Amino acid sequence: MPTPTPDPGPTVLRETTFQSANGYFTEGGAAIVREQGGHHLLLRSSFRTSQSGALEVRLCGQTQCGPGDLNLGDIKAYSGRQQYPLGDDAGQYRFVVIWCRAVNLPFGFGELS
Amino acid sequence: MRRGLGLASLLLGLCSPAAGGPWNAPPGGYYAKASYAYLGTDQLATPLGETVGIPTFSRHEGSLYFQYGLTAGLMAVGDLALVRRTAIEDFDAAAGFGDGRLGLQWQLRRSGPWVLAARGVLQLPTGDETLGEALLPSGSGVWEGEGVAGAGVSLWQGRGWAFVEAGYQVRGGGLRDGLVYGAQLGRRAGRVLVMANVRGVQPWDTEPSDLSTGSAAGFGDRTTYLVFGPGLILELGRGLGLQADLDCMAHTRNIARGTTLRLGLFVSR
Repeated sequence: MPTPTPDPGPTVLRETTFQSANGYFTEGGAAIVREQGGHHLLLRSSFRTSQSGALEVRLCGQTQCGPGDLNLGDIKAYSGRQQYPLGDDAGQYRFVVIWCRAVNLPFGFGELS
Repeated sequence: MRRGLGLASLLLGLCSPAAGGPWNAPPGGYYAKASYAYLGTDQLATPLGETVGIPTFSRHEGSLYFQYGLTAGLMAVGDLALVRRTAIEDFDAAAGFGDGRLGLQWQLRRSGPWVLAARGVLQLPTGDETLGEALLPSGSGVWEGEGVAGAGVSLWQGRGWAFVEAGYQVRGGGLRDGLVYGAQLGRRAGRVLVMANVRGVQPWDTEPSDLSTGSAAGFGDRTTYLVFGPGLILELGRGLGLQADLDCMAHTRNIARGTTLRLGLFVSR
């Protein structure tokens, strides 16, 4: 009978705490996590942001996103725990940004460390 | 006397909708105006009050405004944006009915050239706050209202006027209340009336919250502005006229910042 391989559990590679930007509201934590051989961005249960349309989650080199940054898609919820799949550890990006694609402005960001 | 009533009827509705100054229409008298307004800008005032560049935002609005004298001291007022179309370049465009407003204005006192009035207005959520992913709404989506007191004075032997007014703006849905204010100075020169307008909204509290933040459309929480600019009326005939206004903006939060052009055609009796 084979011995089951224990699940190593999620490993936090980098994490951050959001701060608000441009007078909009964002708070809570986020982390880049490796789990079961894959990576994802985790917005923690403490996460909350302004209830606005056209909000996306992005990984960016700066707080003002631009071409070449990684768009993880529309935000799934304005608060609470949520995950966004990543192809790798996304080590080249310094910031998690809550981005309004309509007006091209960050609503909040956190520097990953 | 007739000239005084004519001037009073022209004074109705000179400023923003439902903010026409403290002069009441006589019983059975009315003032009605159809207006078109346009704003095009690439500037957004953030909720912090900073002005940042955005893709071009535009707003076209067609509206109706009326005042009707019920009694010697009581007047009904109201306005409705029949269509409000807003767009953000490379994002979306949306059009819909705006919020309607209904109210009453009481003439509290009249003494010589002076007049005092109070006005209560209820704003109905007839617009659609969900348009354009809620970034291009045609209304706030909540019940709102305001109570305003104003004082006016006739100047230059009846050829001019001035008024100031201020009051409390109540916003539903957790949106923050604020101070509303306005003032106007005007003077007649033949068939032309020239005006200088100021009006604005100042929320009592502007700290960030997780409430819906609104958008460039100007219906969101903490929306703040001071609008000023000139206005011009050309009397076309008895009780008929054209009006043009320019609204420049200062001290703005959570709203597109630019200059609005308003054109109107009014009738009065």
